[in-house]
Amino acid sequence: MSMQSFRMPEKLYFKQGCLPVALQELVDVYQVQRVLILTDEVMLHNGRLAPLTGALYDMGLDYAVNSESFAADCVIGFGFAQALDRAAAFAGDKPFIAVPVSAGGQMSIPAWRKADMFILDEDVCVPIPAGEICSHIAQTARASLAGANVSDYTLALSVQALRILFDKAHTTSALLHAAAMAQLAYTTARSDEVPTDNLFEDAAEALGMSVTELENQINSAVTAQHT
Amino acid sequence: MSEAKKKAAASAIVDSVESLDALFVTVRAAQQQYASFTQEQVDAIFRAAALAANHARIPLAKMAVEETGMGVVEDKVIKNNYAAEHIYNHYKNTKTCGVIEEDKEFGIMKIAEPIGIIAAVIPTTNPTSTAIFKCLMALKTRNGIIISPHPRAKASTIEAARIVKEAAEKAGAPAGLIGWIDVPSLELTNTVMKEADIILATGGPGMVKSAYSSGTPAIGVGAGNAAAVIDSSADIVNAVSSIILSKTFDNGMICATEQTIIACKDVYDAVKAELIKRGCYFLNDEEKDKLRKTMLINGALNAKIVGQRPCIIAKLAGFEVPEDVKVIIGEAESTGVEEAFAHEKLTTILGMYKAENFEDAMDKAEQLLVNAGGLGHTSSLWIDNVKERAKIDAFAERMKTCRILVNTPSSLGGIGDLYNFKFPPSMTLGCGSWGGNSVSENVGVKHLLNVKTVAERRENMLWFRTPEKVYFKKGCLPVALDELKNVMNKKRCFVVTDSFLYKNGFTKVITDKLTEMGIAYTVFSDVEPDPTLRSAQLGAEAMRKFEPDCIIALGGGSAMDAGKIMWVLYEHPEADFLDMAMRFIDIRKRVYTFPKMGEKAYFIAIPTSSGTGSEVTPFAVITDQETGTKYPLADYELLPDMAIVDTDLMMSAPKGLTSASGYDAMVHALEAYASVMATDYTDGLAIRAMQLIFRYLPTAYEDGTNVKAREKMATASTMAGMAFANAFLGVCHSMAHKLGAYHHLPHGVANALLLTIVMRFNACEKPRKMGVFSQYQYPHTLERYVECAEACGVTGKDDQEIFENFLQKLEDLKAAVGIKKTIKDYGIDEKVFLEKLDQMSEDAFDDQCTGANPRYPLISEIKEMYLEAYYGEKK
Repeated sequence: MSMQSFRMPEKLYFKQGCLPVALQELVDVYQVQRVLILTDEVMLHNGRLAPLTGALYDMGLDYAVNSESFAADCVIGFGFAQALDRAAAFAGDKPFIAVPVSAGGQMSIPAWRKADMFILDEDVCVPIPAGEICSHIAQTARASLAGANVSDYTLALSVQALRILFDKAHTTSALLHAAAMAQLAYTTARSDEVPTDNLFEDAAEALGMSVTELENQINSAVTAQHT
Repeated sequence: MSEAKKKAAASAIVDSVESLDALFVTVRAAQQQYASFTQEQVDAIFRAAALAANHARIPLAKMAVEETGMGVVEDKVIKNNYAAEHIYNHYKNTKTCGVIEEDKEFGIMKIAEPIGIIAAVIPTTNPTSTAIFKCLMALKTRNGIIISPHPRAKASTIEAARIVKEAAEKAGAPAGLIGWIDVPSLELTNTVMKEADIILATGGPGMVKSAYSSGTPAIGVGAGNAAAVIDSSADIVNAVSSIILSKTFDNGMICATEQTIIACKDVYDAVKAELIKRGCYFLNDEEKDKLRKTMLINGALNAKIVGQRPCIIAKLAGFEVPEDVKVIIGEAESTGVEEAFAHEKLTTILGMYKAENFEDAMDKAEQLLVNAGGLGHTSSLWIDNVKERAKIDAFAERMKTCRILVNTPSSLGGIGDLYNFKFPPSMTLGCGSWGGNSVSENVGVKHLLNVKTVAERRENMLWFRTPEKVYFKKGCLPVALDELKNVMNKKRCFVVTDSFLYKNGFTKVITDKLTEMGIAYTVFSDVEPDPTLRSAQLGAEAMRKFEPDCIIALGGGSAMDAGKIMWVLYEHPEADFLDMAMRFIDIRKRVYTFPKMGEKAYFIAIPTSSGTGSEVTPFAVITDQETGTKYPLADYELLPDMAIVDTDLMMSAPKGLTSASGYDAMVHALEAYASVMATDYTDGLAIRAMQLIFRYLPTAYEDGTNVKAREKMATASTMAGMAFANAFLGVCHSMAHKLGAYHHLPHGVANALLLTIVMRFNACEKPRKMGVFSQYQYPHTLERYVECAEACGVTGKDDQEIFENFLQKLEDLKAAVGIKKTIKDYGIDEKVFLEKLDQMSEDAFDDQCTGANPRYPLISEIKEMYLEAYYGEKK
């Protein structure tokens, strides 16, 4: 293999309450006027869109929700993986902003691959039980260690995700970032179908544990009911 | 106090300081109880009180006219009605109790609390409506109120207050919340102002001044002297009738009422004719002189003419006008203080001036305010508001008045909500600092509340940004460049490098590939170490001639930095380096907005040594060859679009370069990890970089042909670059920058000489000053270094020992790659070093990198660290 790559969304913004701050770039940087929000059906009725639509309204931007005929100059995917998949596909060349509400849970690979701006704001996220997040991190991180494009870059992210996962004192917000890092690593590492390389041993070494120990710890995180 | 005593006190006549003190006790007790009322309770009381006042509008109006002998019953009915109805309507839904505003996302909340007891001074001109207004304001804001009526209007003022008080108490307000002085005197007015928590004074300048002098916070408002400017474009019929309506309202006693008309020359006669047609009387010279003598007595307004009809005023002055005259007008020329018609008259007399043009009209209006009083109050303009926007703007800019009314009768317009519905209604009109007031708006509930802001700690938004594409692997360069043709369809490519790399054929693999793809190219190979602004300008000049749509910067930090600067100069020749290089605290809040990059050319960075990380950072340093000043630029616009890390280019790096730049990468990783801006994303990359550098730098140094070692060092360097591109660096780099600049040490070596000293400085758990950043909660740098140490396999019995062992491991690595121990070992003369030390320490303190350091260093501490690094021991 003569070349490998590491791909990131151009901008990843995070921290609780960052959504309106990050969106200010729609005006300051992207200079858009009409925003199409693509979201899941369930989000239309649960009040969770309000922080987004409120921020757009405050900036004086026109927007429409799930109305694909709306002549938009920017697309925001806001919701669960399905909505983000759809938004990533629909955005085309327009600025595409991904705002997952299920951080720590199901992921949208197209969103990680295509987003110009990826926003992780705990305030807009649907709470997911910590046990579920841990299980998800463990599975995604393990999967991210094998692939055709694994590298020290993806390993650094996978290992950091596991380091946070194994840290007994981790906070919910650290878990969300661990999940995001595992997803980022996974998205880059598995850029084609056949996993030709495996960094499981390197991961164990980087974490200062044996391969068996790492396997056990991952397995217990995948299955354990988190308390 | 017992209930019976309370009642007795509440009903006692207040005619002395003792009885006033007793009243204070009652009102304060009631207010303290009222302070805990809910918004719903308060709103119900506010509504009941407003309704009662409105019911009593006619009897109160009659009483006021009878008692004061001023004004018009029918107009006072409107004023009472307005004070109840418009005030209620405007504030009925306004939150005044508890949390009035909350933004959970930003963690900020505003809580309204009452102030306590309001001392309300009520004028004779509006004795009932102002009393109603102030009592309603007090009720809505959960304040108590003690009214000081004017001696000439005390019965009607007290009656208005009594009606509001009874209705409020009936609706549930604590008994005694509203009180008043029964027998007003200057002494009692001064006492009430002194003892209250805030003064709401409406009255003449004397009253307002004593309010402000009382030592109690005061909202006082003063005299008006509104001039109505009539522009040539005005609708004269509308203007004249509106001014008459306004001027005759309650016989001119509202302080916002027009006192003079200033009409432009070309419409002056038409205005005059219309005024006469509608019932105004123009005085002849003899009458004017008589009236001047009557209006002002020793420079002060004659109270006898206030609020009177023209026929009565004329009689007082010694002449006659018909009974049905609405307004008496005296034409005047002087706008000076000696001209009686220039002053505030509070009655049915107008002065009138002829202006040469609009400019002159504004001059006159301004002179009247300055010479004859009324600064800060009200002015009005009659004009074609569609065609003459520029004149409206000029007028608004010129007039030092807090209300500037356009095509509006100023008395009823000034009190708000009648001719403009966004303009809040009030019977107390602030005049700003021009009028000696603390408030420049129409006074409302917000001025009678203490608003507490509860601001919770929030964390700054953080980010993780890298070039969109990072390609790596030995031999990947030509493969990565394929995209230029296949994906991006680039046509013209500009290659930036240094002469060594060019002469040694490093550019050949690039140019061969470009030729193969049919992409035109040119090579600029004059980049020097520590690239200068001049060479960057030369490069940018060449770019402008060649017009590339793609720039490839190949080399070490110097070539990549120079390439970035040329890119900026090519795309934005107007850019100012001083502005761009300005120090900032927060990269997202800086004053200077970096120009948008990438509109002309795509930027690719290709490193030939492992260390700087410039291929993935938003930083570039350039030196001004004239002054020697270094401009460190930092903005994500400078982030390359693509980074290509091909180990083939690094295989021949000499030992000295391998060790210095390799150690530089180690310092990048450690400073990014300890930075106050470190995040989980940068942590993961930084730790992996440290692990790789410890393991592979010695091999890469000893055996430059070891492909794996070279490859791992290349990766480590780029990962450390990504970490510090987002978390930034610290004071080790600040000091290394200046040590390099003052004593010409290689950058990586300078960092290596300082690293462990700075780490020990940072690890202190009780630093003299810690770094300021919302996320950074307590000095935890020791813990952070221990995390790095453990990830790199260092052990020990406790954190302190692990840390010491880690420092030793870093010193060992230094020795293993041939870096000496001290600055002195590099042959820097002691005398020269000490001579420059103070300036160098100060410069290092001011370096952009200092801000992210977890310990905020004092200049003296930097100096101590330099000394330790020089001698190898603490001095």
